[in-house]
Amino acid sequence: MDTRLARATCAAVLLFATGSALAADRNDSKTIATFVKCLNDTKKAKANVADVIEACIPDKCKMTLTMSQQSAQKACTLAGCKLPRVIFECDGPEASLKFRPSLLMCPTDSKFNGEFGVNRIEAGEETKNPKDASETVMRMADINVPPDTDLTRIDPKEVTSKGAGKGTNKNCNMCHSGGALDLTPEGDLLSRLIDPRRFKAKDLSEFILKNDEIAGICTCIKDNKDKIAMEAMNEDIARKLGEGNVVPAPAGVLVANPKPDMDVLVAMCESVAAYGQRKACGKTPGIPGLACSAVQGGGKFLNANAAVSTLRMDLSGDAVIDNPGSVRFVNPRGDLTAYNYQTRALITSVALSSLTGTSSAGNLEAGAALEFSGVGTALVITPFAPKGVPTSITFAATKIGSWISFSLRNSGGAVLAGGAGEPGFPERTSLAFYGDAP
Amino acid sequence: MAHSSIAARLCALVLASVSFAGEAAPVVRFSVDDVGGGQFRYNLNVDNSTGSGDISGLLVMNGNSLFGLDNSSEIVPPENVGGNPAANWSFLAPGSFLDILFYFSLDPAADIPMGGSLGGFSFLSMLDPSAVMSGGFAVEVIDSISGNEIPLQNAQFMDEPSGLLLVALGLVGLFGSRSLRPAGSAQFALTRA
Repeated sequence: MDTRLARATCAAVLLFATGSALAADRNDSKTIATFVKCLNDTKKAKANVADVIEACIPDKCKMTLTMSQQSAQKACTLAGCKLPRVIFECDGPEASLKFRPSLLMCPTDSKFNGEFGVNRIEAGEETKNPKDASETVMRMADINVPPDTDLTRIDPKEVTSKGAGKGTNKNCNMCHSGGALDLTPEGDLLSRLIDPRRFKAKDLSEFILKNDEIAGICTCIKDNKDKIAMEAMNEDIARKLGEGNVVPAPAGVLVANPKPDMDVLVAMCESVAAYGQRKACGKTPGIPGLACSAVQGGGKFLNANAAVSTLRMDLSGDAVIDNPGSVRFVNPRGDLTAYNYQTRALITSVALSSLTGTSSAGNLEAGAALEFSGVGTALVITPFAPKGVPTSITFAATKIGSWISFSLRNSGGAVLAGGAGEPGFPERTSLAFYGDAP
Repeated sequence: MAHSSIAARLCALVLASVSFAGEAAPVVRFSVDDVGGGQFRYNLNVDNSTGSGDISGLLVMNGNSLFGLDNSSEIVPPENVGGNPAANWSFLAPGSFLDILFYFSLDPAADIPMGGSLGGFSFLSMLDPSAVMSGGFAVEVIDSISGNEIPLQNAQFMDEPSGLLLVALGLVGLFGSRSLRPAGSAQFALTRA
């Protein structure tokens, strides 16, 4: 009896272990390759975009809903319902790099690579420019997921944007202008980042929706399914989307969808809403005071000898806001790059293991008296070490009134880069904290 | 005589402009190519012909607020300076919270030496160049030894055809004045005062 029980237990454990190994883990989706692997591992032979959101969009991504039409994924309003583009900003392959899958809820138009925008997932994987470690660029992919797609057959080589003679060009660089960028050794075409709040000098921040609007959007879609479908099939409406765009749409893009699948659209909306409520940045259950937060800043700083250092910082992620004057980031991610003109030290690929902030005025977002500090690692590139040396670092930044200073030091306390803002030029430096309500 | 007078004046104008540039700090000049679609390529050249030290940095002060530059912009630094594959420049792109475009020389071999100049800095912008042709294009450069800034005049628009015309007229003036010069008259001094 004991033997039989042991065998059964062993078999159960093995079965569980095998099942776990095969199961798709959305939190491994940090690159185009691992995202596609997740899709393959779902084993779903008849899937749609809603299934992709549930199975392979990793947790803790910052979600942005935009009604901008300056895109190959143009948002639209049909039957009075806002049908936005949804951008997920997720952890990338390194702490300083992001992975951004995005999808479109507008069921008409944006027909690229043979598929309507509503049936495509665009993905951007940040990487360092192979020629220049200070510049972050992207590999990109365009994944067709019309209703009843076999996710097991999606091939990363076919969906990735490739250079001439190396594979399929997905036309990503019509907007993500990649001029002067080389191909990767694998032949991947590199593209430039786009801030959803700004495109080619146009301010797009007015098109950003609040994330909690998604519930009302889902209700609107459910209440107006037939009317939305009728408008999605209307050629005149399709042609007018994106009129006057900075990058004009090529022929064949502004076309009506003859067969919009409204059930898939409802499912997609509900998946986005569920993600925003339970999985997005700042929504991990069981952590009191958790909020999706960000610290941004940078500029031109002078040390005591007036030598110039520069800083660019855009860090974000889950953060515990203990009170309005104190924040502790759980896993800060994003860009922190600095350069010291005197020593020619470029500090890049920064990965902070901790980042805390306080406001002695008691209000971080008011920004009057801020103090941030963190520890982590960085790659320090100098003329003596052109490939860079991994270095333990400490980071500090303060803001008192409009006077801002920062320092990046190595483990011995030596300043790698730093200084204070120039007297009389407060506009040349910035430091600010942004946090959603916990 | 009239020819001689005009030629001499044109030549003097060219020499005066050379002399003025010689006494000033380094000069940043720019030209613009209309690449279509409402975009313009700004090409920058740093002239350090009369500077007092080597230059290792170029700062475009209103990169975001004036030119709309950010992470998505095509920004190009000089590469392979003097044919040396290790002699490259790099840059930090501006953004909504960082207004300045910072170019920097990663290797001393890429610096702009005293008496030299360097082109190859460029960026794409939607800004119509007429907005900055007569001023407002604020720049600074960085001394390579101290790392200190060297404040400059605004970048100067370099209308290439006009510049070539001016040089051509100056040469015509120079040769014209020589050929028409009466025997025994004083020659132009080509040295700076």
